[in-house]
Amino acid sequence: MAEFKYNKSDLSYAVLDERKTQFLKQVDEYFRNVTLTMGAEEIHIPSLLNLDVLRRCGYLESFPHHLTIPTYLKKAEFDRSDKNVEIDNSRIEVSDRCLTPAACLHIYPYLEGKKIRDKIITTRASVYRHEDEAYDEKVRLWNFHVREIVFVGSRQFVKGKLEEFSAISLSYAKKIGVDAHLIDAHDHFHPTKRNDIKKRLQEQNFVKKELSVSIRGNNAAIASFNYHDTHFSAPFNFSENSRIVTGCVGFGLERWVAAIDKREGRE
Amino acid sequence: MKDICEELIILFSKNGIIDQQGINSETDLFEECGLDSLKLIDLIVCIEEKYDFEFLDEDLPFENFTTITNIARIIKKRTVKYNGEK
Repeated sequence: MAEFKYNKSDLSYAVLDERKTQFLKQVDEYFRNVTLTMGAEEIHIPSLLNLDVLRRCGYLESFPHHLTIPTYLKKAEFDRSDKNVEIDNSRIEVSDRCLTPAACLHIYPYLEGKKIRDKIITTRASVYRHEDEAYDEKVRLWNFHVREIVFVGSRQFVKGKLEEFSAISLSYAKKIGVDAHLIDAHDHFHPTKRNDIKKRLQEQNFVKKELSVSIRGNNAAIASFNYHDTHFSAPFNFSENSRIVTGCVGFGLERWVAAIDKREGRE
Repeated sequence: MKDICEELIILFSKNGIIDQQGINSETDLFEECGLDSLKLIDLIVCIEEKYDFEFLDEDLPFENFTTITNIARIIKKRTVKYNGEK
């Protein structure tokens, strides 16, 4: 089936044809099955996320540039809606929710106040990251999909699982012919003095790794492995006096499809 | 070293980063005082403003922030006031 998009010049989201959809499902199913074999709990999360969650974990300070905040039509405007309706700023209200910028952000409130011992949670989600740079339909999308895995437990358990998953991911990439390598990385924080300290702390403490591929001459991460320590368990009250920590792995599914496309010479 | 340690405990307490009660210079700030990554940023900014220097990349491994003594050691290394030379 041919790819169809209403507006082909809009590169901020991608509609995948049948072949690419199969690739996406194949990658997702592989990591889902690996995780379920390890005894993971699979959950379903929505696209909407309350902004309060972002406030509590410092996301608004770190990544304000990625936020997408939905709006809705003011009630008084309902009757004016007709076939010629134009949506402009004067007719809309801004909500106190955002569209989920990272799937794991739903999981920490889900765990709030619980006593947890070495647990794995996984979900597949649609996520939204606004970018200042141009979108390109393959590796830089506003709306994309991830297979997310969160590890919760002792430091030894979480660090061990992150190591294990980085090896599994690299091995899977090789098995399917995707030329990828693991690199030390840092998040792309909004540039402020405080965020520069966060970036340098990440670099100096090796808390983030990425599985990187080259697509169209640019490096792109197809997976990221993140150690949070108590960054989320403390604000969401499941750290049990700093004993319980978290880490997460995210697989960018459209990017895996782009990497497989490259393997097949369709880059 | 003792002076600076006492100064730091008061500074962190005043800024709401740790609770001064029961803290000494060897208390593990992460394990026993609930220091997390968000509070660590506050702590670093607070020190840089108070002692007028910027931490170098090599100062930033988490181990350097586990106790007041460890933090004082870096400040001593980086400041004129406590070291005599920068």
